[in-house]
Amino acid sequence: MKLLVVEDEPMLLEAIGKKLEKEKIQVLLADSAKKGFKFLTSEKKLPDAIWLDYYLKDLTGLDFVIELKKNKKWADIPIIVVSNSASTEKVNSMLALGVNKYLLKANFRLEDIIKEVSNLIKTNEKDTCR
Amino acid sequence: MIKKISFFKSVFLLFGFIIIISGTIITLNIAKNTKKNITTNLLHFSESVAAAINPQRVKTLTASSLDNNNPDNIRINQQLQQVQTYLKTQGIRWSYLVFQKNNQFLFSASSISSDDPGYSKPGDIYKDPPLELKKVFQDQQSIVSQPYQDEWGEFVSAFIPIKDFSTGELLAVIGFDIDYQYIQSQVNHQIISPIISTIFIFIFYLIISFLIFRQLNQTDALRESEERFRLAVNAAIDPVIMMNQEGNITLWNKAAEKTYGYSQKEALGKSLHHLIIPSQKYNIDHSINLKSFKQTGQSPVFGKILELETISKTGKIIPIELSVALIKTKNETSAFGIIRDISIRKEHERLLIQKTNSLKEEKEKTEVLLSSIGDGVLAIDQNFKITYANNVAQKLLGWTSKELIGKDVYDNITVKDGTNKTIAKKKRALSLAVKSGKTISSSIINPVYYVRKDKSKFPVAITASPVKLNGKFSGAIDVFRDITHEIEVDKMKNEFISLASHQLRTPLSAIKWYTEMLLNGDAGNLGPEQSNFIGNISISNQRMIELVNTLLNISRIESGRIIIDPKPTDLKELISNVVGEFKSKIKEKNQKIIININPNLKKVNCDPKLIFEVYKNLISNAIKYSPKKGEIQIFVSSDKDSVISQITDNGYGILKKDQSKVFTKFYRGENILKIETEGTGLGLYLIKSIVESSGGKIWFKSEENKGTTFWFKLPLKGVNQQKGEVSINN
Repeated sequence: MKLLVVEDEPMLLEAIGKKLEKEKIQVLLADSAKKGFKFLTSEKKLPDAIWLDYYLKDLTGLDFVIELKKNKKWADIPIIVVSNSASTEKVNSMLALGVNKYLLKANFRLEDIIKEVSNLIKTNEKDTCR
Repeated sequence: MIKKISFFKSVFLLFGFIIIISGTIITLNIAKNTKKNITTNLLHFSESVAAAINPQRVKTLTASSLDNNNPDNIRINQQLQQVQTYLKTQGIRWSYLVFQKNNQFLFSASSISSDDPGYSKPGDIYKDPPLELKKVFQDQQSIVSQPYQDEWGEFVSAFIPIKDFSTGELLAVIGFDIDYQYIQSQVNHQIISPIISTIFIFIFYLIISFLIFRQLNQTDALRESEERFRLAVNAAIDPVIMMNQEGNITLWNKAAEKTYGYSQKEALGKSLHHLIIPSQKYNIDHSINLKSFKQTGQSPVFGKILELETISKTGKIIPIELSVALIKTKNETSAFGIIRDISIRKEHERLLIQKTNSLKEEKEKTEVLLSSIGDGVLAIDQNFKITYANNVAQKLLGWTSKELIGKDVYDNITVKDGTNKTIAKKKRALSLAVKSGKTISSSIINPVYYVRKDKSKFPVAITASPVKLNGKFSGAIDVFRDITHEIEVDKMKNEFISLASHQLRTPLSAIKWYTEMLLNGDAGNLGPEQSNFIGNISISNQRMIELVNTLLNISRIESGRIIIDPKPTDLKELISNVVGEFKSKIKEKNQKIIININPNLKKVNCDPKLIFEVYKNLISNAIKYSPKKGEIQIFVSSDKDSVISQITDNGYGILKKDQSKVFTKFYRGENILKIETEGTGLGLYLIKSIVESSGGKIWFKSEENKGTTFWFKLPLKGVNQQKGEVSINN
């Protein structure tokens, strides 16, 4: 399993990184949208899923997803938004853009989020196989 | 009176009859006497003529043609003819001698000339003579006949016997025929004056009677009219009075008695002025008018209605309306007055003035109030014409009061929506308020805009209320304020909440995740105390996260921007999900939970997310504030129009003194503060807000150390959808 995590808060990024490492999950840690796109373009193997925050240094999660969906190669990567800002408006527009899941950061333990991501990847794989 | 008149009429008829009868009798008497006189005169006259005829000459007559040449006959003829002229004046037409021979009456000498058609030769038989002729021959007495008719006319005759002086032998009878017409004309001549007299007397009598009757009738009519007048005056509801030229009362009706307390006896003859008109008030006026009335019989008050104050016997002041008229009869001049007691009207007027004044004052106050409040106020009449615009309204709209008043509110104040489209007349708050009869407020979330005189626009919050007068629509009031600033503040607040939620939760997330990893042993195994400490950090952090969540929820609910998104919800499933969340807690406290839901309950149209929060709070409280081994019961039932949920525990209960503050923000019961430190005092406040914004109601009953029951009900017809911007727990 390979994940791209886009999170501008270094402490949170670090925690996520450590936890995924412990769980033996390959992870690309990006503290900005720009870095995220860099990974996507540079990496030979695309990540199985993207863990995305809403507010980023350089872009909003919304803009990131819009950019992502523009590229055919990346458009099918499942996205899970983990943000502390989850107004209905934001959630609905993200889901409308094709985001698979929107979680409120403070309400979830890392383990639970990882479980959600794994499930997401599994369903996505099933869908793709079909 | 009428009886009297009919009696008079009978007497009149009787007298009339007597006059006519008497006149007739007198006339007839006169006629009779006249006839008698004439016949008597005729007799006397005839006798004297007869006496002048010498019986010796008569003796020589034979009553045959022999007499024609008899000198005696000629002599007698001459004699008779000589008196004939005179006889004529007495109405005597003929005079003649008649002999009786062989029971026949034969003519002899006569005054008739031979060329007269009535002439009979001597010896001619007197055919059909009057009966009296025969009688004279028998009785040898002079006689006057009854009127009789023969071929020559109608006559009355006098027959005088002519006798021999020496022997007394009846020789002949001399007849004098008098025209009955002559008698009749004499009679007529005599009776004309009594007839005329009778007629005159009768006519005179008629005239006198007529005059008498007229007088009687007039007197009667006058009495009748007086009686009627008296009755009418007494029956009048209003006092009716009359005053003579001396200023004294001459009429005082029952109503006057009642109003003023003076009886007729007391009032009549008294000075009107002194009796009922307070001297200090109208002294001069009245004196002048009375003087003028005394001198000229005129007064400026005649024909007018005066308003003045009068005084009753008891000293009560009675305001009256007095209409005065001049009444002139042959003998006297009076002032006639009809009084209307206007005490009640005056009292009403006083109250009206008082009311008007208080209304004026009220209006002043309202004006001041309206002009000093910070909102624009427009008053509109039933035709939607502006009747009032306060200072703020003028300032906000850019129109002066003068420019606005009388104008149609729809034509002159345009309302636009957020997309700059003009809002149709019928969709404007005013129309909606008038149509529904309720106060209609526009929302701040989707504000509308008023267009100023200079065509610029500004967002407004409108409160439009219909004005009803006696249940009938009579206008509307439009209160509005410029909410530009409020919108900005609201926007800032929303941004703040959004930012705060993000900013607060980020460090909380970091703490949550790192403690999670520490407790998980991701950074190596921890000693028991270390584990305990980190666990406490984790619990506190979790409380902090929940507190932030609750605060955000409250903030959203209070802003009115919360989304209510009702969908058919199975409450049984929802409750079991809630209970599921507390499984470990219940187990830990060894509590018993009983769920009883009406199996026939259909899905309820409500926002599951919000209602979940309600059950969660109530069940969590029940668990938290009940001791170990406590029992928690959840009942859901429904009645005609609502679903009622009941959550009962047998826990610590709420102190009586705390009960009124249970739903207050941040309030926690005094008794449970010591038992359970964890709690924000926000849960019940939040769920009350949720239940009420869902059109429901929440209440409770509690007793210390016995337990608490909370009920909340939701409308069965479903919760109204509310389009907002936020939902809870994000």
